[in-house]
Amino acid sequence: MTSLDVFVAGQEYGVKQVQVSPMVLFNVLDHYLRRAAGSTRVIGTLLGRVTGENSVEVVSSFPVPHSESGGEVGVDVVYHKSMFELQKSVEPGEEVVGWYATGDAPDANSVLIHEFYGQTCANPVHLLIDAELFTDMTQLKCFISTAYKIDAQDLRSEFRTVPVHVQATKADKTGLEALFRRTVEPLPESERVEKEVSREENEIENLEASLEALLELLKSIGTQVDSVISGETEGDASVGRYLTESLAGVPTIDVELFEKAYGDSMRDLLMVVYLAKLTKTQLNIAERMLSFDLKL
Amino acid sequence: MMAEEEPTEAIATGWTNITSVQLDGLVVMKIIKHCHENLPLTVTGQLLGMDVGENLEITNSYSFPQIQSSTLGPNDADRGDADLDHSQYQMNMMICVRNVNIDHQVVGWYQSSGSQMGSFLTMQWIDTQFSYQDNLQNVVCLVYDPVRTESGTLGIRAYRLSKAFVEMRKRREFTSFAFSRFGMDSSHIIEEVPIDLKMSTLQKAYIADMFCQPDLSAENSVELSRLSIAEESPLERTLEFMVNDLEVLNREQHKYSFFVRSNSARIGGLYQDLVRARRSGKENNDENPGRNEMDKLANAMSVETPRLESKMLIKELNLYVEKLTSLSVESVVKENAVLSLQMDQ
Repeated sequence: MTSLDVFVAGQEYGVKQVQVSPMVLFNVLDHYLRRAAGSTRVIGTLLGRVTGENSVEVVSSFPVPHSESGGEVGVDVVYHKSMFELQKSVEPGEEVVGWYATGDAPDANSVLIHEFYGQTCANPVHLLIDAELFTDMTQLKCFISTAYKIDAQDLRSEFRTVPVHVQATKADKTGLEALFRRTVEPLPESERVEKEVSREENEIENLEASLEALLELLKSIGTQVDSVISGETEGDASVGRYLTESLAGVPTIDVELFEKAYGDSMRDLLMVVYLAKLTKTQLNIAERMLSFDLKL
Repeated sequence: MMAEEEPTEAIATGWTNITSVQLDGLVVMKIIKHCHENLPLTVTGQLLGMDVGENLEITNSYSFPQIQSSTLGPNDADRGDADLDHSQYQMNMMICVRNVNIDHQVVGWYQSSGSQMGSFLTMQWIDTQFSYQDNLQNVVCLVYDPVRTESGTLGIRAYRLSKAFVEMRKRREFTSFAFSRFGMDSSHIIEEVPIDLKMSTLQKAYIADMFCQPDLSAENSVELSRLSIAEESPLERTLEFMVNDLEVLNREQHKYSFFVRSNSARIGGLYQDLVRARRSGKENNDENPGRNEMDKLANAMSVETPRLESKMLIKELNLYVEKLTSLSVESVVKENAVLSLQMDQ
């Protein structure tokens, strides 16, 4: 009975979700910017792991030169192989999981390339990144090929989209955030000269920015609550509940206990600061002891 | 001083001219990925790009395979094999990189500080960086600190050996006298080069879009996760490393004072000669007073064991102190934020 359903084969096919590391995205975009003169799109190999039952994690990629003319497409197989060998010696755990291309939609040549990758891995995924911003927005699509079957007979196969999302680890996020801040507020030319050395990331400045962001959020919540109380806007029950929950989440600690804990850890920290200063002095002395005074 | 007199040397003509590093977003992400997948091991890789005027552009990178120390036998043949594999790997990679129009000029290397709380200054580091700087002109080493990055602040810094130190390293003179002679102290062994992050417009578009996604905005944003106080601060471990280093330094200091005491008669005499020569040289307007005495003193001191390690320790400890101060001040701020929250109730 189930064999009547032509889509069943596609369902069985496996890959249901694809996660892409932001580094892969950057790599593809860089490859696109460095494409050979005259070519309109670039392709490359995706490396990663199949995790769990149905999910593919793409953690790395490398470009592969290719040529397209009319209905013919040539992928540099030798390059693909040697580059894969090289990658393998660095990260032995990464396998070929598919391929990427830039563009808006897969075309006839995509089918041929997909077939090639089908020989290197079981269920290749095809990641399509819109590097030309056809739709005036960034776009990430992922395809797998599924076969229409009736009983055991293959009829044809098609590209079917699978959900894809960019998966950033905690460290990735930090990196992205640092990059993002440069995007929105590039240092003005005058500041550039002044802040010559202090341009690198600084914990305290970051913390200040975080606290400011928090205050900003609290302020906007405050105005929202005020306007609901005064009846200007209608309250949203779910927002209200969430706020109550959050407020209830702030632990009430006995004042004395808290003050003691606060005092203790504050003393510890000040001690560390003092110790650091002391060490610095000590180091200066050590330096002096190791030197000859040649300024006569 | 020597370098300016001998402009024929590659080092003297070349690498002083870069004053900043322009780091592509792609390289940042590549280094982060490579380092975090191999924690707590220390990883290294090659940096590619080009130097444009005073700016060193780093546009791409590739990782070096881990050299398993277990496969390295005690004999030199095994090590030689590994070296050969390594250079073969680099060569193949360069060919591949060239084929896809990636910049193929080596502009340095990167290293993660593994789990050692941001410390990287070792003999091996100095040797590697020296051979880079000796062979190529404009090279830096990016040092990546995964612990710092994990807690919310991107920890990438660019370092290189100072020009004066390269001169010293060439002569392999590391006695305390040599350090004074070259006018070197621990803070001038390496120098930091400021980094600027750069992205292509296309990357910017994608990054801006990513920050509108739920993964990176609202309660998942890095800005707010940085405020977390639950996590164990790296403060304690940094202190531990510092105390260890201090102990080693202390031992070295003892050795040094022992050396000075046991050689004081000889060296003291030579030193007095030098002082006298300098004084009389000044009166006679001599260009280079006491040069002979200086050489004699240098000879006498050449029996001294190298002091480079002590100097490196001092530098490293200074970096730890910097870090400790920054970490504890950060905690103080957080504590105070919690305090004001509690006091309101």
